[in-house]
Formats: sequence, structure tokens, C-alpha cells
Amino acid sequence: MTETPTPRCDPGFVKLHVPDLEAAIGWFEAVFGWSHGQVLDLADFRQVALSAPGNPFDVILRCWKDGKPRDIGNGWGPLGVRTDNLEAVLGRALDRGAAVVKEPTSAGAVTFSIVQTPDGHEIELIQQGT
Amino acid sequence: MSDAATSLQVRPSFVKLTVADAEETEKFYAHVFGLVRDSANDLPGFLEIILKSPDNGLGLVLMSYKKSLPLDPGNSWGPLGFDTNDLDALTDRAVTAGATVTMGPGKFEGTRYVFLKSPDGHQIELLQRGDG
Repeated sequence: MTETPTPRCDPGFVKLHVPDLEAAIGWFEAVFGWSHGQVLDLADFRQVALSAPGNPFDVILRCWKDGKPRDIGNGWGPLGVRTDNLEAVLGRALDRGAAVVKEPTSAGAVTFSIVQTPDGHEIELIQQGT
Repeated sequence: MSDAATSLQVRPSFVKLTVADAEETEKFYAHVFGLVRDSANDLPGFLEIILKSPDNGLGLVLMSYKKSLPLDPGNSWGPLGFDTNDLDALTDRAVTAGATVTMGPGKFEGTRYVFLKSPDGHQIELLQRGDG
């Protein structure tokens, strides 16, 4: 009679695959100010988790050692990132080699803009209110 | 003096997946992972359903184009990871709902893991850390 209880389940991370781990860590640190944990270095890959202060969801950067070409595909992204200062974050992203996919646009109380990182991942910046 | 990078608030808010049919895929993520619909945008070109985790507020946005287009998950994104207290039960739910196990279950440094492919072909990683 008893129904199996739903297991606890929290979204914990998304992985982004990058060709140069140190360069990508530098980018996310400089643009978003996220701190990173220890680099995990295994036979097939190197990876590191980046976290925003107090945020439970990590972005994990992973660099495969197989040297295979990376294909960005069309099934994932963007990664949405909320900020209290879109203009400042966008400025930093562009300074660090990101490309604008969508210029800042206001929709009601929200302003958003989409950029592509130097590794090709799309990131949507969102600012609520002004 | 202060580093501007640390004074701004910048945090991950959502991950967007492009899928064949957002309403179909919503059933998978709602049933298996307990994500709840927050809102939806039905526009001429695409349908977008915004799901949220009731636990930590992270958004999962499912987007399907009205004109069907071949989906290519590529190899530069994913998996999307979920932490759970019952890896086996969650894996069963996912498989019953149409996911396939691509690796595991296994254990690495005290954490149990399994890799799944969703019905749309997105990679999902389940983790059960330590005792719970």
C-alpha cells in the first residue's frame, strides 16, 4: 500500500568541457568572481568545481586529455547567471574575450543579455530590477 | 582597494536544455526529479517551460522549437548533476521514465554515482555522497 517516498533530489552542478582548464578557471574567476575548489586530476581528464558564495549549484569545468575536438552542439545552453550589475559583468566578459550573442534587452522588470565565452558556451546574464 | 569582482553578486540561476517537445520532457523532469513548473513562454517560434527545484531554487528551462530541428547534444556540455539521498531509487525512477544508464552505478572516493541519458539525449549524473 505504501508508496515509495520520492528520493531527495537537488540539482547540484552542470559541467562545461573546455580545452584549457587554467584559462577557463581564470575567465570565470575574473568575470564572475567565483571561487574554485581543488583540481581533480585523473587519467582521462582534469576538472574543478566553481561556486558562487553561498550558492549550492556549482559549475564544473572539465578538460579531457584525449585532445578530441569539442563540438558545442545545439542541445544545451545557455547557462543562466543572475547578477545585481549586468553592465559591469558584461563589460568584464567582453574584456576577457566573450562575444555578444544578444545585446542587453529589457523585458518588464528584467534585463538580460547573452554572451558566448571564449570556449563557445552561451551564458545568459540576468538582472532583476534596476 | 576592494576587488570589484568579489563585490558583485553573480550566481548560477538556470540551465537551459533544447528538447524535441518541452511538454513531454517536463513530465520526465517533474516525475523523476520533482522539479515544479514556475512559468511558461509560448512564443511563435518556440515553447519554453521554466521548471524550478523546490529545494534549492535552481531553474531548468526546457525549450522546444515549433519547427522541429535535429538535436545535437554535442560534447561540450553536461552532464547535469543531481545530488540525492537514494541513488538506486532515483535511478529506477529515471529508467522507468525512459532514461538509459550509460555508466555505473559505481563509487568514487565515498560518493556513489550513476550516469544516465535522458529520453532527449542529455547526460545526467546522479550522486549520493557519504551516508546520505
